[in-house]
Amino acid sequence: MIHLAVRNAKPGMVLAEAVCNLHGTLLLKQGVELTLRNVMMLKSWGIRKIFVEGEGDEDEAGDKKRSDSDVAETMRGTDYEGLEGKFSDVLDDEVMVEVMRVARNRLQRRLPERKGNDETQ
Amino acid sequence: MKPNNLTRIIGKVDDLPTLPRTFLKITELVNSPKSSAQDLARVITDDQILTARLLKLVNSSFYGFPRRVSTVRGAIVLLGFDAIRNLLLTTSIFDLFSNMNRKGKFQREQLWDHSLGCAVGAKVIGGYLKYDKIEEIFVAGLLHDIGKIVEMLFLPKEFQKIAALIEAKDILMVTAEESVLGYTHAEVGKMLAERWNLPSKLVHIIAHHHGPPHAGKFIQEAAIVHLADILCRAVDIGSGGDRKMPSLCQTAWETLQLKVSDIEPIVGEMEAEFEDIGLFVNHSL
Ligand SMILES: [Fe+2]
Ligand SMILES: [Fe+2]
Repeated sequence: MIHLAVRNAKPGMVLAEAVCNLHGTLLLKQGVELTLRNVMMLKSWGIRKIFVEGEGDEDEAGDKKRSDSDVAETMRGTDYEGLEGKFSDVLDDEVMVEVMRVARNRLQRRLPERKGNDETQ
Repeated sequence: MKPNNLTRIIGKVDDLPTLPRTFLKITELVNSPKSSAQDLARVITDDQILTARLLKLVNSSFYGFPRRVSTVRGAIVLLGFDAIRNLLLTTSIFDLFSNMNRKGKFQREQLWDHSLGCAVGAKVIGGYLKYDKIEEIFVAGLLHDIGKIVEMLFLPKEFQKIAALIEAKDILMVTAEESVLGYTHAEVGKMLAERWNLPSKLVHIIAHHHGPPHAGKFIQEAAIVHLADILCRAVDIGSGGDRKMPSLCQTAWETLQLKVSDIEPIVGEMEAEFEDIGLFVNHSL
């Protein structure tokens, strides 16, 4: 079992332990295979660490399931969807429009940054 | 009319989490004009864990002192009384989050991250405003949602209902709380803060972080935490308990006198500092 940061989670990894949200509501069952969609869902709930099947440390796990080249694109799409729903009630305020723009930028930027880190490890 | 449940919690007030005795002693010392750095050092060094934490935190990147601080006295001289008190309050709050049972583990972690993110955010915004009590505003951020912890501990059934309502309707936690309880975590938090005899500034910030104009002379502080809360939700630092953005209070925004173009650098600094202090606080305290 590997204790893994959600930001290093890759599609195809299998959950070794169930994940619950802030309220204790079950988000994903043990044994579920991760997809881009449910990784984004975990992030949107602010989940930072999960347990996935496998042996070894976090970095090796990341290498084994290295994501496809188009993964970044798909992830961005999912981010936008979540972001729009989240901000839907507050966009009549110019400051919140800016907050959303910044949030979108930060989410985008996290992807290439992570790639860079993977390569140096 | 006081809602039933709130009365119920007040009834259990003796069971509410308490602060360690050392903290109370230190608060007393800090508030007394007669006490010296030596008095304070004596109380702290009596407690080994506290001493270790204090020195670790003082030497962390959060303060960024160029030289190593190796004595409690040195730390007090460098940071000042108020900062030390707030620092000790921080470690006590962390214990409170850790003392929950295993079932509450995920909840606790996410709420802790949200609180820590908000604390860091408040510190960064405070820096932009040249606000002079940075440690205090940091602690205020850390404590702003403490009412949610109390609800988890003392109203577990209602808390489940609130959770179910949020899931079903995708609404803000405060909206769900109003409909299930008739009051919110802000009021519950205020009650706890009063019970802990926290300074009235902190009580007001906790009580009004969703409505800063009600915070009276502490409107600026409440507005700082209000904005910090919104910014950490925006970039998903932890979880405040729902997936909606609360609206920004116009009066609060005007009070801060920030520019729209300040948002981006503030968020950038927040994320960087959160990574820094998050690593430190989560593993060492
Ligand atoms: Fe709140
Ligand atoms: Fe909050």
